[in-house]
Amino acid sequence: MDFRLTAAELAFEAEVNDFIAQNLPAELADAQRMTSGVYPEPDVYRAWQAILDRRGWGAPTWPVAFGGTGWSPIQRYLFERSCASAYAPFQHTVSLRLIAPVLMEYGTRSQQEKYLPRIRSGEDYWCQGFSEPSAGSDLRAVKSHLRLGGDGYVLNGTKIWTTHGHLANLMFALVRSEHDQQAGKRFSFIIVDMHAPGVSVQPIATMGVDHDLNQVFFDDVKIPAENIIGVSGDGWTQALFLLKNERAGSFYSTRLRAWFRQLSLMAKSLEGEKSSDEAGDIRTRLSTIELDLDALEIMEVQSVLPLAPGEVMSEFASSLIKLRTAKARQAISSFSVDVIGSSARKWETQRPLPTTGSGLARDMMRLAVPRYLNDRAQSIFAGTAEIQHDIMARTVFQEQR
Amino acid sequence: MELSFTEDQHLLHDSAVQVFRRLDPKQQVWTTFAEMGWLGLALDVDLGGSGQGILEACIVAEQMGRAGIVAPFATNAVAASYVLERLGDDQQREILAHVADGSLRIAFASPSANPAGEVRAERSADGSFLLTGDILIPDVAEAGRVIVRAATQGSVGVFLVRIEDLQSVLVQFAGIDGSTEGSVRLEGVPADLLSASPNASGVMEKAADRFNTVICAELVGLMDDMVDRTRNYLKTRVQFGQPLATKQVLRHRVVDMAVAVEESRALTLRAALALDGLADFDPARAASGAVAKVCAAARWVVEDAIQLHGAMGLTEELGIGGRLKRVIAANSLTGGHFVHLKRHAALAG
Repeated sequence: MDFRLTAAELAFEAEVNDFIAQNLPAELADAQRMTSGVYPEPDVYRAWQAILDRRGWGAPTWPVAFGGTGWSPIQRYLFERSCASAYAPFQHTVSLRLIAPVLMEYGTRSQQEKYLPRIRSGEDYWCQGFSEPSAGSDLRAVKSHLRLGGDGYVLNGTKIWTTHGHLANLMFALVRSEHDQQAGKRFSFIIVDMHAPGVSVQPIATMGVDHDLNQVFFDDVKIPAENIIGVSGDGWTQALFLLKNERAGSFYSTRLRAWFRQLSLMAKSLEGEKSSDEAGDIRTRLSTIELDLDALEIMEVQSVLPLAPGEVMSEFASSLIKLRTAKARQAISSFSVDVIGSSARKWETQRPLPTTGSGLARDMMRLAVPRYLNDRAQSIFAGTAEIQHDIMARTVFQEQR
Repeated sequence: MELSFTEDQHLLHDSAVQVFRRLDPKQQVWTTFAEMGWLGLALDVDLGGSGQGILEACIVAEQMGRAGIVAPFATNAVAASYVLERLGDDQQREILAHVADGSLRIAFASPSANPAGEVRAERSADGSFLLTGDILIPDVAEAGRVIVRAATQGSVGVFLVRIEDLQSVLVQFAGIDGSTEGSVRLEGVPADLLSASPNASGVMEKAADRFNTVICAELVGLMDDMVDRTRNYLKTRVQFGQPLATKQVLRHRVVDMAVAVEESRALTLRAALALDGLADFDPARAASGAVAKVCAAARWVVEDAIQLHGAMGLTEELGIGGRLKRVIAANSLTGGHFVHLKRHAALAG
């Protein structure tokens, strides 16, 4: 065991840092830093994605054969860590890490050629069509359905909690196949053009004000046959593959580390306004949060480093990291609200929040409440904390699935 | 960067698992430790040890904790060798070979609660040192020497005292975890000076960080065992016609215990890597961070193990109470999770 970087790793890190220093525009870093929702605005994402793509780093998790970097886990970790410290915009998980691997594994050659380069360049922006009003944690309860019609299929139904559904041009969706109802063959995994006639998107207002969530309605939407991924009726296979693939590791702890540094900076800047007792308490609270991040970082790196290409970590490790990541992020934003005192009562509704130009600490104070409110979602999306517990319990109780 | 065990570490882990599986806690514990070479694990090769690190000591300690064995492994194999290697002269270091072969045990004095009892060292006419003051000596039962900190003129010295020189003033009492502790009022007891140099205190502090990290590893094993036992109990205990293991609320609580084990193991590893020079972060801060997390987690994990075993959890027969007692002792020996959380905060950059 050795947590230090080798000479080759240090050289790689230096190369990444140099690239970021020379190519990340300050306004993109500011935009990421001021993001209180789940993802930055697509314009911000696209601009950075294009910059990365020109360098050949657009798809850090993809194999070389599909235009990815083919990086080892340690290289991915170092890349993410450097991007996080510099507040480089998030790369879009839904496009790059959810749908892309499904296309690589199950897509036809023409689907791969059509979609993968446009994901890598940032041209396409995907949203995920899994949850429905009556199918949340229980994905098998989806009701949106596909029937044969015209020279392809016709889609009706609705999807909900669709993050950035109003900004995406494409959706991948798990839907019921009415035409194909033999046992175990009830779902199809499809591509929906968000601009196709019959697709409508309604915003869902949430307490944090950021417009992240939507409900999407399908009213006799024509789905051409080439928009089925894999075999019609066999969509559950792709859905499981996608969910499993989420376990490849995102090194989200690196982002949390950057936010924690912001929080510490803000807390330090406010120390003058606190009694020494209070300041002492704040420092121990910060330590408690930092220790959770330290543990998370080790657990994440230890789970991801040994993975061979295409391999994913154990179900237990994946849920552990998901659960503790959400908790740590919520701890950061929750404590931020405690530290800022009277500023917690000020309510700003412009999104994204503009920078004030009066420094990181000031900006962080204004971000505290919106982030805190939005971060409630961290333990709900992509498998609630309770579902993660259920998953981990299967391992702890040594049960076969 | 490499966070998997080396082959040697795997072998050490596997042999520790094997040994503790068949070890009788009432007999041959220390002999077995010596035979396995564990008592000289972290000791320099030139001094009769195998020159390994805190990481390796943690591998052994975790299995020891899992087996519920209480022995002064961290004190001897880690802390005592560290202090004597750095502060002792050649002759003083020679006794480390006896520590490694199991024939000599060394204890560390801890200050008594009496502030007036602060230990002082006076130089006698013949140049030797005599100690005065009150001390406690955890794990005194088989010890042959005890390391004592004492104030000398203008500085702090670290001394080695022979237990036989304490026999007339040593009061032994039962410790909460089954160990024997000593209480001593020193009144001019002869002591062998290891060092009164300015770095002596620093070495003692670093020894404590090492000791504490290995104690954390022991608690990780102890907690892991609690998860196993609680799960096994819930799988077999039937109420309302169903095993308790089918109840979601109970399942989730055991998962939370398992999560605490993973986080505790991660922070212990982090401290061990820093202490072994295999990471860039501050070892003192990492060690305090481990104690802050692990000693607090161990407490509630064992409490929950008792709760989930119901009234059975309270019984001596099941022995979970013994684990809780060890957790209390460990928290006290390290200085405690709260003190170390504050130290972690104070050491923030």
